[in-house]
Amino acid sequence: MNCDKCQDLLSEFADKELPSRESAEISLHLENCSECSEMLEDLKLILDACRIDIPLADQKPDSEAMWNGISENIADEASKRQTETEKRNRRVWRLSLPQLAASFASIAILAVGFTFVIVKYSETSPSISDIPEQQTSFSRFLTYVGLAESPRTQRERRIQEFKVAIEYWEKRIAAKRSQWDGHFKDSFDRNLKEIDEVVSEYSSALKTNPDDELTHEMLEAALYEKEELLRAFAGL
Amino acid sequence: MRLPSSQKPFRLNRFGGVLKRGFLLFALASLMSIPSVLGQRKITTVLPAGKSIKLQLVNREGTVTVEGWDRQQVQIVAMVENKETSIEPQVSQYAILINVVKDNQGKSGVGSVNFTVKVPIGSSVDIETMIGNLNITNIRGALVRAVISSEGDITLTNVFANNVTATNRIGDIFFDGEFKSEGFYNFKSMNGNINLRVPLTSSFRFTATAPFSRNIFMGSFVTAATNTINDGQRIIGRFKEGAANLVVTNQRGTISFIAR
Repeated sequence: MNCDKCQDLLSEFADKELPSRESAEISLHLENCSECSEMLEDLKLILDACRIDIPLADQKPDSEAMWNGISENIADEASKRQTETEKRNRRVWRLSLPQLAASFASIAILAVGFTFVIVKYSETSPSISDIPEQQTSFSRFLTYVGLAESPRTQRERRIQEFKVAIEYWEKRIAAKRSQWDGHFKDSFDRNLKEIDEVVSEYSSALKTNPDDELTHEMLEAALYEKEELLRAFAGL
Repeated sequence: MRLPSSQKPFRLNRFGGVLKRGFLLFALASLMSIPSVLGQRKITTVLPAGKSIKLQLVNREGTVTVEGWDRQQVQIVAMVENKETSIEPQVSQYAILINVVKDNQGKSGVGSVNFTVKVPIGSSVDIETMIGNLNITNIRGALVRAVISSEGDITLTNVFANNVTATNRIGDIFFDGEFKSEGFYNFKSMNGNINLRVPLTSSFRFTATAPFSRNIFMGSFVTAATNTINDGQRIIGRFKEGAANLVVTNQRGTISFIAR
């Protein structure tokens, strides 16, 4: 037997799986060939090492260690989840500078809008009792940003409203006047003349001093009186 | 004059269920028509009432006089010029509503109706008229309102109400009473004199405006706590603690404060 054939069968020889005749031939060769003998020695060492690992693989699992491991895993997982939730919660309030600025701007716009609505609706009816209008810094700011009317625009709007209402009641009066008694006509005309004179005088005064708040207020009061007079006589 | 028929002399309003029908019969029984010279007729009505009632009267033309008395009764006397004039009061336990304008809407030749009404002293009185004088005396209820749409004088004497309004266009306004703490008092005329007579013990804050005449006489009520605006066109101020609120506006006439 030569070395090549011996080395091919060396593994089976080590496992004692060869027939006795071939096994005797290999044994004879090994006694005379140091190279093949050394290979056999190496192969046996490997096989021995394998035999040592087998019992370790066959060992029963340590249940206590296993449950400890599982518990640790569960604890780790819960801990991870809690950390993530905390991170998420913290993330809700953690706003960037632009986000904070946008939030403050939104709140400011809402507050301004709310104030504007209140201011607008509180000024719809003419008041003769108030101290002449004085614009505060805040209302000037609202006017500047276009969220509120300037006092002049407000006055013009109110005067226009009065004119529309007066026109309406004058039409009603024109339709009913013929049914009135003579002294009702006289009384109505006297009162209307009185009011028209007052309106005319205030209008003239405003041409000289257009910023006179009290005259503006009195003009509106006179227009209100005119509207009331017309309304009362239209009901006859 | 068309007197209220037996079917509908007094229409009960929705509160009328409280008033017993006997009251209406009593009122009808006390209704008298007395022919007088020049075709005028006098209507007198007496109604039972509580310690206070709300009288709301809207007249077209004529003098209205309302007087508070110590009886728990309401007495209405109406002098009606034209027999075609219809007056249909609505009566309940809490209020008496008379609206001559509405009852005669669209009619011509209605003429004047002069009312003299006596109510329990604690009553509230709300009177409007188109033309004519309004006189209200001895009232201590919550509200006194006297409004003349055009011409006429308003005289309020011995009035101690929390809320008083007197408005006319051409005519004088005279108030003789008290300003109650937290009360609101508003007097307004286009052309006439407004005279307010109140005790010196009164406490009120006020805005008095007389743009044309600039005649605002504070009399004994001059106080350091005043602010004159527009060269005397308006005076804003406070007398004593400023407990009551007073607004007086007279476009062309004067405003005077008189110590009571």
